[in-house]
Amino acid sequence: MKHEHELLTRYLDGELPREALPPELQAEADAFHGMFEDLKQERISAPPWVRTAVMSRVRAAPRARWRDLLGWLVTPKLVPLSPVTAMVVLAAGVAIAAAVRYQPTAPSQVAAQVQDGRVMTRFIFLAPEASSVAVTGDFVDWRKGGIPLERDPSGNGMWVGVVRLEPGVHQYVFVVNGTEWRPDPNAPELNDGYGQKNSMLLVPQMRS
Amino acid sequence: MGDTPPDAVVVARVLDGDVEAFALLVDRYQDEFTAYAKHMTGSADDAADIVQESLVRAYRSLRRCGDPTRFKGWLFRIVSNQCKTHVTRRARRRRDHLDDVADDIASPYEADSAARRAELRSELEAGLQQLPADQREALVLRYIHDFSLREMTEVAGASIPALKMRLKRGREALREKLEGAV
Repeated sequence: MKHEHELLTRYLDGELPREALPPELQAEADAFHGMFEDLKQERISAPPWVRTAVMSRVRAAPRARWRDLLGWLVTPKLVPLSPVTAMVVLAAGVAIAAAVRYQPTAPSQVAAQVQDGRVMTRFIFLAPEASSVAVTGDFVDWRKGGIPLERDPSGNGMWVGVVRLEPGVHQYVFVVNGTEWRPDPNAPELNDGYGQKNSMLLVPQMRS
Repeated sequence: MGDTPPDAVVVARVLDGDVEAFALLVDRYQDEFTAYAKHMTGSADDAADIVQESLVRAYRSLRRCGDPTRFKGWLFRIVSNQCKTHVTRRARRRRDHLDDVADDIASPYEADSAARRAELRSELEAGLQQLPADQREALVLRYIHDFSLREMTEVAGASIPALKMRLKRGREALREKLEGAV
């Protein structure tokens, strides 16, 4: 099999302008793009029945009131607060967080130590029913397999793993039984824009 | 925009109970996604079915669209997943048939006549259909729908290095299927 020239690869990935290629590679690049030209130019429309069918099914969809209520409750909303009220709410939140933060029964936590400029970060997840648990996140390009955690031998249902992370904010989730993505119940959550929740972790800059 | 409210406004209206407002989103995106689904499946009928199903699924899970200003990307991901599921299932059923098609593919740059061009196009479509769904998705998004790699990450749910790898493997596989003509 003929291997692709590195410059051509970078051009086709959008990293180089066409002018950066020597003439022979420009011709090869043009031939490649030309191959798709007819498909690009083709005008494709949805047949009229698609709109009819979609709207018929949408109109017939049952309105689940409890789901609407649940949706309203979990949808972020802007709530106008006076500064005084906001401070009271914030103080109450801090007090509650301080009260529960270091409870030994907390099912999951991240503990950090420094080594070689990167931070040794311990991921812990409670999943006694699981046959496997891994952690995946931006630090492994969201690889589905992630980094496997090990079952705590004491039989307490905990899964533990240590990962060396660069300082900064990281997003991650736990992967249970290879398929089920679960956020960390003890970490702040971030909506990824597609209905999934990621957990957030701040790895501080630390001296070794 | 005037007569065409942005997606986030339409989504809010639908969530507020205005079911008919969903037709605005259908009208806005059904053609573009039908084109994408046809490139992914090679079949206009399958593409229409996929777009219909995807739009209904989007309506049913509209509350889970975390950021309505990015409704299009969210919907694109639903369509993309439907396409991949469809082609994966079909690949299992038709693997033997597709192997037969591969034997018929010839070099695409032997002549430049209209007939030859049409032939090249059908060969390209057949070649795309033989690629794994992930590679096909990457090639269709990048080279037919002109997505940047960053835009592709949202639809494909993969990192940029992973997408580069899919593109490279997809190009190499396509070249091989088209007998090294590009």
